[in-house]
Amino acid sequence: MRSLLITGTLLVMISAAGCIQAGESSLKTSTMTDDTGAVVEVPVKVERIVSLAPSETEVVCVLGQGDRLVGRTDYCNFPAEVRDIPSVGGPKTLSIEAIVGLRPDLVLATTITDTTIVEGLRAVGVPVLVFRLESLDDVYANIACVGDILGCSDTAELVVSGMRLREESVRANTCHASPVRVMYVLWDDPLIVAGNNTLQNDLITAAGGINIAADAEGYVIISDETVVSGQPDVIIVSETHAAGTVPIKERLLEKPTLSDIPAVKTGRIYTIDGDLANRPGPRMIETLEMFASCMHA
Amino acid sequence: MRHGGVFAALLLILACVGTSSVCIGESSIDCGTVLAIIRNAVLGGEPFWSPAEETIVLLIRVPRVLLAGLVGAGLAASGAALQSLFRNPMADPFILGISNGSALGAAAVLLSGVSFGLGLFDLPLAAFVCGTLTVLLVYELARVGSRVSTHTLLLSGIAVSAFMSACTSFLLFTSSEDLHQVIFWMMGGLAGRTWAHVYMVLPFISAGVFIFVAFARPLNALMFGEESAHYLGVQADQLKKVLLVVSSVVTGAAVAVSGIIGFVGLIIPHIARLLVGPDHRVLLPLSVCAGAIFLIAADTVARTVIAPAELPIGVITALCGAPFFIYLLRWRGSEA
Amino acid sequence: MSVLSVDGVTFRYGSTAVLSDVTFDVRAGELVGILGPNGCGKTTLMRVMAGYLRPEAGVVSYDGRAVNALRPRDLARLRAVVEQRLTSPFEFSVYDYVLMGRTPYLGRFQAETLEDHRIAEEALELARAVHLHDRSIGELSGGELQRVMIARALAQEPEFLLLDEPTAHLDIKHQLEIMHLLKNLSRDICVVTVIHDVNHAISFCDRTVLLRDGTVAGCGDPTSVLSTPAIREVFGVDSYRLQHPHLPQAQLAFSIPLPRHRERKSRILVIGGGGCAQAVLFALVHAGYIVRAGVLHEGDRDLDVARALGCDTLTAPPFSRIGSADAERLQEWCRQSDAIAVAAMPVGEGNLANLEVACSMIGDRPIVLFSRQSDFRELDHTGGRAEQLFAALEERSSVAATVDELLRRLVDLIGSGSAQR
Repeated sequence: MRSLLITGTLLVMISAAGCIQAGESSLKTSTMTDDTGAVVEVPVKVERIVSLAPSETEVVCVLGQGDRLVGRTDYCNFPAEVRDIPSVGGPKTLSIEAIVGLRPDLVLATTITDTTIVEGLRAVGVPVLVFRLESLDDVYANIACVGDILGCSDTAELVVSGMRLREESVRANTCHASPVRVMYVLWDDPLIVAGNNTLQNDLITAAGGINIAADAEGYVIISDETVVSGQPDVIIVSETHAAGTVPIKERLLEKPTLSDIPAVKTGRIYTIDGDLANRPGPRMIETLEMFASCMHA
Repeated sequence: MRHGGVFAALLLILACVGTSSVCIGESSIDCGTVLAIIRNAVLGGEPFWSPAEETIVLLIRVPRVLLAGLVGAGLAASGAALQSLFRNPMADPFILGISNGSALGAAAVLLSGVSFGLGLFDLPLAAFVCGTLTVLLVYELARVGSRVSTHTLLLSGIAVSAFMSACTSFLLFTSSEDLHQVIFWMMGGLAGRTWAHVYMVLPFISAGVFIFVAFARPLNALMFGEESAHYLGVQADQLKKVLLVVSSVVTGAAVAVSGIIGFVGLIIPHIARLLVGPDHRVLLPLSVCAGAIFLIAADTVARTVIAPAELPIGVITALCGAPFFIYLLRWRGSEA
Repeated sequence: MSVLSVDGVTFRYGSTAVLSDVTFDVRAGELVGILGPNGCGKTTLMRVMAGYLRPEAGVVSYDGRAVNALRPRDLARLRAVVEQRLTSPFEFSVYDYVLMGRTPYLGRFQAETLEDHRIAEEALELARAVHLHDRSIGELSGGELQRVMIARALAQEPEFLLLDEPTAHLDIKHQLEIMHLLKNLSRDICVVTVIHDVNHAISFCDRTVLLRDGTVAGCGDPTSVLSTPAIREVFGVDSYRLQHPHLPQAQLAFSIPLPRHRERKSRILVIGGGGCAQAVLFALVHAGYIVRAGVLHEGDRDLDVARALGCDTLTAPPFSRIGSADAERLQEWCRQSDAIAVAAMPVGEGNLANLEVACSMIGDRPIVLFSRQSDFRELDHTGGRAEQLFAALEERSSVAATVDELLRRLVDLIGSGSAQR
């Protein structure tokens, strides 16, 4: 008798659970493949978005859909109004529970995002789109894609075409100048620079420059020898307000090994805010213009 | 002197490896030019090369090779001394937690943004101070009265190491700052090292190696235990203190400029021992040579194999060191 | 004259006293053995003597110089120590190891001189280890290792040589070789060795120090220090002195004392001889009976055993005929006993009286005949008289073929005889 009761209760519970699932799956979804090759079921109507990358936060906001953002990371600091949105942690302290607790219809992430978080979210049924952003074209595609999902592809098209226009103008202004040898520095000790297949490499090229570290893949540590033999005319340093007491630029100028390279001799070391320069969002185009003005000053 | 042949051979190899390491690099400068640049720097003469080439050879490659040699020599000598001190073949220069201690120091300085006003040398100084403080802490924890048992020392080393490592992980994890420097530093490497770094560690490492060699005979006695050493008139307690201090300073100096480079301090003494036996009067100088050769070679590979990018040197030391060590073990084993 | 003196030494590990007020001294030309049961502080004493452990009270001095006042190097030129074991994680060659004995004579950067090499070679020779010269320490057998360790100690050219159980883990031949070596060395220098084997101490040591719970229980000539009562008290075992013509000193054999189940007040007289009654004497004494034995000839094994067991005995001069006076005493003792145990022994004219007295007690006292055989002809050297007497005993008294059976028969005959207390 007792076991019958338990069985009955279980049956009721299981069927109830089934009902909930059936209810959810009745929502319409469309199938998408993201930049990592993952197949994601994205709801047709996305009302609640959690962004796990500052660039995606900016993309959502530039499309005028900031009110749909229900979660962001500690690093999402632009535009200023996103600071009122609850954060789900820093890059290493992201909390799956906090994200799930926000009941997002969709989570936006990039290849920088911790994959265990991405997998964890997908495992509990939260759709996550991961974008690979290594060039200006990647950024354009990203904006268009998010615009599609949020039902504002017109706005997205407008934003992208505006950006393309500015890009073209930079290219037009710099294509006749003699190529400038550039090094983009993220850190000085060890010397970490942007190599091939990085956003900054794309920007340097777009602005009519030659990246001296283009032989290396991604963000890499290089030796001073590479710098000396690369003879950069311009060094662009991304400065985060982060660690370090002496600005990276100062420390580069101090290095005796670099004292003979053109950029140091002519003092052409420029510092750009890392939040802007390292963020593959809509403001990328501003970065491109800054690169161009640094390189052709 | 016995083993004179081995010595001569190693010195020759050291010279060859050192020279070729200076000649090899990402930018192709031919050997003749490199040697001419060096000769010119010492003797003076007419340059027929570009200033960039001179910078690369004199300001980048030469100090880096010297530094690799110094660090390799220091780590190998410390390893040899500590293996005998602890009478444990698994001992290495980091056994008393110096690596984790200096890593914590480095992480703390980077993350807190505290400056000693030394610019480039803030981090090495912090690492050195924290590393040696860690050894001091380990020693104090293991001390009972005036005596320190090596077993307690080993265990407290492990415990303190684990604690320091946990602290570092906590700092790295909770920090919102960029951490590539700490992580790179923990992997070890000599990228971007200059003459200043050479000058910084040269006195520590050369004095340390000298003291190790001076204590070679007592070290031999200590290999059979403190009691046995005492019966030969060796003051084991005093010797232990001296060796601990010297190896901490030498290792601390090495770690400060190169980060944590594993394997050198562990296997080079073993390789040297396989070549010439356990007598420290031969073993220590030989370890110094072999350590220098090994690290110079490893660093050359690290900076050229995927140039212009740099490999962490620890990868090379383990990749080359481990199989070579196994080969020597088996070769010796089949001979016996 | 070299003298090592240990004066009032007290040492404790934590709160446990290991040595208390140990005093003795060792002179040149002596081989001194330190003996004692496990955990009595022998090794600790050795370490204190060597200056490795500092005593809480008391002084160890070499030639009148306190060990703590000597610089370690000077001390190492004066005394060498051979530890129980040698352990090193790394392999040294025998010669390098022995050469290490020169450490106290060499400066920081000084290389060994030809003289040092000569001394090391000599040490190897003295320790009869020359043939091991190029071997590796790790591949030596126990005996070889011991020699090599002694060689290193000798390379220190010590006036005092201290050893901690140099014969442990060695087979008998190697044990004896090491002891001979120490004996030879002791002609020139003081040799003090911790030693486990009491017989080695008796055979080789000039003096022994017997330790018991960290105190000196005896010090002096080995034979007198290692007396049966002393060994009983210190080691808790019974010892029996055995003499063999080949050996200069009597050797000791040992047995764990059998538990005495209970005290009995019954008196048993044992008649035996020719070593035939040993087992009977043992069994009866350990069963708690009051045992007397007679008449036994001097030199008879049975007499030695009876004396060692503390029995009253009637004795006769060696090979003499037992006179009527002795026979009468025996008869008297028989009457005073509750039972008589006769161990079947070879009987000749000399001891026939014993058997006659036994037979005369048939019917008067309970008698048990202890015999492993029923044919008494072999025991008879009297032309048939003894055989007849044995036959009479066999027929008219109890017979036991084993010691256990003997004890059972006695209980049957005279009851358990427990002492009333």
